[in-house]
Amino acid sequence: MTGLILKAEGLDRSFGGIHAVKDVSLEVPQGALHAIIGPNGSGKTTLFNLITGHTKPGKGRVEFDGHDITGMPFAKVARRGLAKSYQITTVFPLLTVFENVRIAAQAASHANVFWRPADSIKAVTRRTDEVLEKIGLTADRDAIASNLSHGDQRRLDLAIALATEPRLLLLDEPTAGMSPSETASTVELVRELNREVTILMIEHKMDVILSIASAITVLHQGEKLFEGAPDEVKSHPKVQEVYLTGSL
Amino acid sequence: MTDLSPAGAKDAPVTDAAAAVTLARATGSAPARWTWGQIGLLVVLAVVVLFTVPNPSLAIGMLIFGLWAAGLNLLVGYGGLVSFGHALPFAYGGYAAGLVLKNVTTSAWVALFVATVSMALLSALIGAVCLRRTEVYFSMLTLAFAQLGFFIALQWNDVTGGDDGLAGVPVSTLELGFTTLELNGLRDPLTFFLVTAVIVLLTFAALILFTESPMGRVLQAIRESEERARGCGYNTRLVQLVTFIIAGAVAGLAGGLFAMLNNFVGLQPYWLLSGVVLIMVILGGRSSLFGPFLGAVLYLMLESTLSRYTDSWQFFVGAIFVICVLLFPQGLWGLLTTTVPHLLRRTRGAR
Repeated sequence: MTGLILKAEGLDRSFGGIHAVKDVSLEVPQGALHAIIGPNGSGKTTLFNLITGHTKPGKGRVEFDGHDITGMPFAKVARRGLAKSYQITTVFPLLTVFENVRIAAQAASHANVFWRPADSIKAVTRRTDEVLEKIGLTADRDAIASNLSHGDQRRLDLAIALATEPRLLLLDEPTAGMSPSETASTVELVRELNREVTILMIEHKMDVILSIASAITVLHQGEKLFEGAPDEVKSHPKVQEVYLTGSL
Repeated sequence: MTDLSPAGAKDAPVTDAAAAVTLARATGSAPARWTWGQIGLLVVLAVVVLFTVPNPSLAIGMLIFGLWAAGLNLLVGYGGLVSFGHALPFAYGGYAAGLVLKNVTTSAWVALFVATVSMALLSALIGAVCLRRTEVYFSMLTLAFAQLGFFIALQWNDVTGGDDGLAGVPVSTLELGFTTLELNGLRDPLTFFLVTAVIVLLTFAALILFTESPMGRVLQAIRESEERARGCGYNTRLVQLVTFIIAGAVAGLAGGLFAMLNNFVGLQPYWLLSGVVLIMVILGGRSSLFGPFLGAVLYLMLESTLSRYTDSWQFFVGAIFVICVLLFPQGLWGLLTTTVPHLLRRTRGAR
């Protein structure tokens, strides 16, 4: 059997009177493309935040690559090889596209020193060019990030996450707000990235999920409703009831 | 030289500085891609100052204040951290150098070394506390520490001379191996100017190297999005603390030089002095390290010219500052490197 890269056990968290995530467990094997779906407010983003350490869990524990990372600060989790792309695009707005990605690539190279120019570190600039090429932003390398179109900024967000050379990539609605053609190319990109890195993603668009995911977890009101392969999820009566009705 | 006498100086720049916080964060453009060329520009500026500024101690002061402001700009422009207390390491660096020269040795090396290192240590302590907060809360904490430092300096008569200032700082000597120079700002201002220029240039080059280094680049990324920088795995607090220490050390060095120039360390209100150096940064432009030098030269020139004609020169400096900020929020440097080329392109395009 292939090892588990991520294992969450009994994650639980309330905010005041709202029980956002109720006793959710999750297992993501190496190389998977695992999707989390569920209606608005079902606790998907909170679950992500519990995994990354943005939110401390009330109960439960998270293991990343065999190590306990429960409640560990995000930067530390990131250094262990977990990267995240954001639901609300988060890039370095006034830096160039190249510098955005270079900063992330530099993090992976552990060259955080102050006695030599950053641009002289060949391995980092090479990695940056590679990622830009893969994501398809090479033509925009000298553009200021905030001048990019919404779709390109979403892709830059993804490129930053990718450049840190993660072993697990968390994608929070990578196609949010994208046009149908942008969505299609992003789906293709995610599928391609999955060849190198394990992906755990939140997605709203059902057609996106069903075509690429290897496993799907359905959340409903903070609870795990069902988990299985895309076909099973699609045909499961309870899932259809709460989620798919009207959306497919 | 720069007369920041407490008497007439209580009103103007404080409100200006308050407006500066919001302003300082809205940088508005990516840092211009002038890096190493700035060293050349600084050499040119130093030569121009040497030959055009009639008052030698004013000319030397321009270099010293420029360095101080450039160090502050690491925090303000590169880090997005607006310090309201940057007078503290400058003034205490002055005391440190002055006390060494008075009581221990007249060696300029030792005095400047002590001023720089002691202010780096002090900044490490202060920074560790202030950086627990961000934005305006950070600014307020730096201001609080500066106030604390001011009242300690005021009360601790035996060491600092209190209100009267630390007088009788002896003329220092600079051992260079082959010769020993006497740094007397009054009798031999040219030597003092040249020595200061060399020290300032070397420090300036080191600061540029820092901004271009991996850590300096991360500092700028944190300014843009701390969350994302953390997501890349960076210890953002540590990077900011290192920057705070470097800025403090540079201020200490500048303060030490200033004490050697005047053979005196005066007690001036730190909230004002902190505001003045912030104005130099904003006037000159935050997107480079050279900009603050321009700001310092401009500010001190305005001050020395206007104060010859009117006692309320601060009113006019304040008015000019407000107009500059409204018209060119990116400062003089931004005007020269962004706005002017843009206008030139437009007029060429129109033709």
